[in-house]
Amino acid sequence: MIGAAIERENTRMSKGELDLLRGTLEFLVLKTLSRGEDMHGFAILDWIRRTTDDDLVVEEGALYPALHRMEKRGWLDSDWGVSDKGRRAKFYRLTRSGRTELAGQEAHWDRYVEAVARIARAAEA
Amino acid sequence: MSTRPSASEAARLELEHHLEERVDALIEAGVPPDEARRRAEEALGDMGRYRRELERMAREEEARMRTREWVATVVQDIRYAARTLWRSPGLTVTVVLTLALGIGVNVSLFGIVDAVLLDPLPVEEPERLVRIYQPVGEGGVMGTSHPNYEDLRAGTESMDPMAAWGTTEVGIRVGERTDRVNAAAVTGGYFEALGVPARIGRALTPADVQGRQGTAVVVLSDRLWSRLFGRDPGVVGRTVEVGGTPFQIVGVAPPRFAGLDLSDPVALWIPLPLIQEVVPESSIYAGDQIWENRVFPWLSLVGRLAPGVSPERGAAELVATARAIAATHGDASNLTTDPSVAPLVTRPAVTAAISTDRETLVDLLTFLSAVVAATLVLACINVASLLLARGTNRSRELAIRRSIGASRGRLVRQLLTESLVLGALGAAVGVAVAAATNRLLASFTLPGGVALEGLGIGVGGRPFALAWLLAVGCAVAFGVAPAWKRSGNAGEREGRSGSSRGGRGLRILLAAQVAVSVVLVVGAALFARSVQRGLAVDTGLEAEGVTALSFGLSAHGYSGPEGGAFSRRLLDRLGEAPGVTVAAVASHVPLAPRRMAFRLVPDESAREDRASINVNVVGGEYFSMLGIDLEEGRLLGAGDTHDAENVAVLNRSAARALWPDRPALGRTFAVMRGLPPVRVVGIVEDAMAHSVSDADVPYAYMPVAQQAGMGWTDEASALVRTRPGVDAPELLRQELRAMEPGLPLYGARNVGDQIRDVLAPQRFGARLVGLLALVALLVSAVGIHGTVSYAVSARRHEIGIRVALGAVPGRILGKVLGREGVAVGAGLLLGMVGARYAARAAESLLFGIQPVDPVSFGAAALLLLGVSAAALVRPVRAALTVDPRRILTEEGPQD
Repeated sequence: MIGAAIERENTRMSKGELDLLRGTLEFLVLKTLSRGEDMHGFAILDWIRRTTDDDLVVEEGALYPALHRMEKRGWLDSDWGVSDKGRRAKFYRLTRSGRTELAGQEAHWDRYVEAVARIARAAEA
Repeated sequence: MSTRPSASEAARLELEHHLEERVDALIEAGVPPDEARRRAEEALGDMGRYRRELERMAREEEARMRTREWVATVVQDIRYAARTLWRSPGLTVTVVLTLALGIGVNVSLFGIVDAVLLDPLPVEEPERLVRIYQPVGEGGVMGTSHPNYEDLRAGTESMDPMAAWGTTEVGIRVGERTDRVNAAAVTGGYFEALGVPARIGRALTPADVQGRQGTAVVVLSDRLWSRLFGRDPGVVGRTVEVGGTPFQIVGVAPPRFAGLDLSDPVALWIPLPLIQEVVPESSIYAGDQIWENRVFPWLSLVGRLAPGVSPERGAAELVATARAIAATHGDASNLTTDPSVAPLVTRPAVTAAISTDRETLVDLLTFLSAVVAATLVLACINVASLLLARGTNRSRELAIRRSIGASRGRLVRQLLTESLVLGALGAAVGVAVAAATNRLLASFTLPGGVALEGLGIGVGGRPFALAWLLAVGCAVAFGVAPAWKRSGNAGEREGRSGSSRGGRGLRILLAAQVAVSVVLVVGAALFARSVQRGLAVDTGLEAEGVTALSFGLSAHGYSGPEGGAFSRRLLDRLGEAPGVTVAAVASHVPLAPRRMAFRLVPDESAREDRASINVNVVGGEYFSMLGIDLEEGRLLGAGDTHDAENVAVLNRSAARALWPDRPALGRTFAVMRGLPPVRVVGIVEDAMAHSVSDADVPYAYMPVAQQAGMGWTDEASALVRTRPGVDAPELLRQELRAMEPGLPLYGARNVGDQIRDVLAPQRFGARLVGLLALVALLVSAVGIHGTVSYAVSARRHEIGIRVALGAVPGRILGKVLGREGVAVGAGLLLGMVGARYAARAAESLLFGIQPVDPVSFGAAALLLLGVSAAALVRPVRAALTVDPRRILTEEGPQD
């Protein structure tokens, strides 16, 4: 389970695993925003959580540096606005370059998952 | 969408919003509110840490944006400046050319100063290199013999490594072409000691020398490589003939490197023993004495101070070693045994690179540096005045930009950007001007015999850096003050009336331009007159086409009387030699460094009042050959034989020195008390003998048949004037060798060339200062024209009214241009005063004229007035053709 792995590594992360975590989180954010809706940080996290049935447990604050990093890279764009509940919030959306990035990462993840799955199947057999 | 909060505010808001949303979600799920808050914070993690991280990222981003914005505004400023300058191309071209001239001459001269004084030797750590000489006479130096060199090297630890070399002229043959070049035969450690690596191939190494034998390999100078082989990198391994012996080329020295003497640049290097293979058999270098003779000082020495050794300690150890050598070998060592005299002297290699006339050279370059600096100042003043005149035109634009909210700082920056763009263009063109100036000056020889051509002076490296430094300096100098002034409210007022502060500023700049121009023109005139005077002094001698070759008779075993006989035979031979039109012999050739002075004793002199007179022992057609005219009595002739009465011819100065108050002709003097009297049979005019500035040195000419003992046998010269196309040095060598095989022959010189070389500083100065004066005149003319044109256009309205009221043209001009006239006059006066000081400072470089030379000053004043008048023609015509009807229908003054 990806979620379990992330939770464990969150306590003490080595470099490679951090990259894996970062990559994973960024991929999930891109995927979430790819639905076309402008979302603030909490909404993004909430959506990931609900979609993965709470399997993804992550220190919630870690999301924000990731969002800012992605914004700096030009994958995301942001604006300050007012949320459904009438609160001031920062809304993120995917840029064209973010969409390209997502496509690349999707291909990568597909290959990765497939490889892991093949090993799993081979071990089972 | 609302506006963006600040970086720290945004970080706090974003995280806070997250917490609130989480609390809401938890409460909705049934968690009590205070419990919900705790669990929300727990889920978020270390809030302070995330906040700081977000803030840091935001700040970095902001800094990046600011840089980007700054670059964008700079680019915008430059674009704007370029458009502004493009709109007035005439002004822009004038300014850029003016700056380029000012910067160019500075860069060019700096290149010379750098190559000659600041960085004369392209070797490793030149300041640690020390030249080592044996003292001779008073303040003179000479080289060292090979045995002494070996002993010095073995006995001195603080100079490590030491190297030595001897130079000789050789022919180098490539195919059908033979060039005479200066060759250095060097010890194996020479290149290593200097720290000079080969540019291509390899340098010479200790392995190329095996005792008194060596490998026939040669390293070419960069210059020779490019002259003979067109910089062909495939030259390594090829064979060339040097002095008739085949040599393999093993390498090419780095650019600029031509040995350690700037005045005697080396074109190729061979291993020390190979010197015997490249010189003729009769040469002094041909025999074993070059290895064995302790008194034969043919080697130049250089040492590198060992790490941590001070120059003083190095010199002290050398002297101690030399004393030990002298103690062992006595007089045979050629090193003094006198404990009060140092047997060796050392000089820093950097200053020794210019062995003679270094002071004159430094004086000249210092003076010229001041002159080029003045030219640049003039250029800056000119540019400032042009920009100021235009500034008043632009004040309306600036006022508008200010009123729509541009800050003063922003406008100053904009205006400064314009100046910097002008400066940058000036520097770029200036580098081209410097390259052109270098080409123009390339054929000149500086004092000390330093030929500019061989120095490889370029416009890269430090001179290039200087160009940009000057450009920025100028841009700030002519840009900042006007920018600040114009960007404020003052600019608005200034635009209204041309006769107010802006006009006065322009007139001050006008006066300053005229003043600096006067100084430059006077300087040029002084140098030009010096050269003219020098050439006039020169008429005392007609040495064109005369070649002299010196030889040493006493070194070959001749005594005085035998020397006299030898001279007669020599003159007979030379008189019959094909191609020779006239021949002579002399113990002193004009401008040769060596001369002998005696304290001659005049007759009827009981007292000790003897006069120091230079003696020249001559024979043949010496006087007519050099054009020294007889004033009284007779010249020396064939009748003045050794058994006839002893006679002499004096020059005017000598006659005056011996008998200040009575005619010298027919009187007698003695060379020393007790020696037979010598009768004065003729008086000749003074002629340049040692240097141009001492044409009035007293000389006594005595016949070689009678006085061959008076230094003549030590070193005498044979002089011939030949028909064009005759190789005179070779002819003299052949004749002397035919008469006396093995007679030591010294250098041959072209006396006419030497006389011209003596005038080198004045010629060089005249050329450069003349060039600068021309630039100054041009710049002044542009400045005067611009300033007065501006004055006229600014006062068209006033002129129109005056014309309408019936004023006569003269009165109009007086009213309108009076103040500009006063400015030019004040500038002239100021310039004259400044020139007086400048001339005094340059006094040592002038001769034949007083520093305050009325001709030069008068000519400069007239020239400046003429140029001013010429520059005034157009604006004056513009003022006189103002049509009052048109002016009066216009609303008001138009800037």
